[in-house]
Amino acid sequence: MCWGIYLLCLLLSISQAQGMENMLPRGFAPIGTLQHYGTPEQKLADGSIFDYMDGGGIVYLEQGFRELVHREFSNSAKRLITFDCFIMETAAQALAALSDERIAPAAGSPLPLSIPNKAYRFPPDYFIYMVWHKHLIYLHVNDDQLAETLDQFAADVLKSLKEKKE
Amino acid sequence: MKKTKQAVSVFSILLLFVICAMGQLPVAAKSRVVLARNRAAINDRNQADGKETARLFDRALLVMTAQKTASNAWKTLGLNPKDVVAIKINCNTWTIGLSPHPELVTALCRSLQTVIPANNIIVYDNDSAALKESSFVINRSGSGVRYTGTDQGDGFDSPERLTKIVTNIATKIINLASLKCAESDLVASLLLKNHIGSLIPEDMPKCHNDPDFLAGVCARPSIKNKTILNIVSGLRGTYRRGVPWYWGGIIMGIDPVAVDSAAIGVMNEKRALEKVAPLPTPEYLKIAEKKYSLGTTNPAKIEQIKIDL
Repeated sequence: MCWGIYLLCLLLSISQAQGMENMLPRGFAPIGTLQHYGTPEQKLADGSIFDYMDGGGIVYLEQGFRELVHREFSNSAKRLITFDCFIMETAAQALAALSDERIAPAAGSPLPLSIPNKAYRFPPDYFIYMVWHKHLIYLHVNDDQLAETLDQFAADVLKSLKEKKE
Repeated sequence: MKKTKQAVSVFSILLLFVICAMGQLPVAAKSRVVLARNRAAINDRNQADGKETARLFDRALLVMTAQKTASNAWKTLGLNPKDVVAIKINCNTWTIGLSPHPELVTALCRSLQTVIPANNIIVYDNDSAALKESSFVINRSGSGVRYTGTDQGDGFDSPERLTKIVTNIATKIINLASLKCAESDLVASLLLKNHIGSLIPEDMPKCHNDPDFLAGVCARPSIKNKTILNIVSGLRGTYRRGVPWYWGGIIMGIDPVAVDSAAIGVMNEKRALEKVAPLPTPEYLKIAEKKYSLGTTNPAKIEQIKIDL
């Protein structure tokens, strides 16, 4: 019974994350394929979180990490946007991950979004962490002059998630 | 009897003087670590200046070896004209860019070419895609400096469970890590952590939560015996996980434990300025020192030389 509920939740999470994959940042096109990473015990198609981010993955595991959906986008100027959706075991853990300075550093300031979030500008990098239910979403662009594009992408992703929920 | 004692004392003093003069005094040498900075080597958009980066590298190497030419410096480190040198880099492509700047790798390779041909240099990491994302071009041809990933088919050595680039192809190794704060069980991802990328892929996750395993990787014979130089690039580094700053320098030494310790010291200087608690000495570094005798974390046994260009 418990396993059934868990699988249902997992499938729902995956379908929500996959819905986001169709979102495109303005002026960007997807590169490569959508990637899925699991836990060391339950690897997914592309392996475990350690195959994706190496040592840092341990902090996410401590916060209840279950799955990562990863996608990249590039524009004509070869700028790169990264989309990562970390699916945690519970919504509380996703929120705790946002508060964990080993994941989302202390220097962030929130964007005017309707969900908890933190944005960081470390030239030339600009990135955002935001939490929606069990999802910790990380968006990054390697040129902070495109911060506005990333902010809009964050808003679009959030809108898509809410529509899926409804 | 008294005269005999006096004669022995005089003889002992003379002998000591002769030994000292010959530079053979059996005193434990300190591990030399050079911390070299050049603010002109990097701008605030993570763009390195090739000329200034080369000047930084060249100066650090000469100070490190107390030599006047690059050629002599490399010979002092044991490099021979027939050597094949593998340079392990760490292409950090997740979140902020912390990969070694190609300008620094170029400076290192040019310097090596005062002794060995370009094609005898192999710059490698485990992931070819990450190398490309970090602006390196894969080159496995017979001309120029070789750039490759351990995923390109060179294979892995069975007993040491390391890439054959390290065990079979290279005769010397240079470890080039990035100044990266991890704040997890690792504390920092520096030289000892860098060789996780030399492992057979299924062993890579073993370094997490197992400091003994992590420390032991650099004690494997091919790495321990072939490594001639350790460098941490801090042109851009992090002092907290995910929080970068432009330190604008490199840290260099023969002793990997001493260099890692110095690198953590650099991060802690920045953390003190930002009123953040200092990083502790990682457990794996203590094990590397005590169990594997890879070097020292003891400040009294480390000679730090600071250069500001």
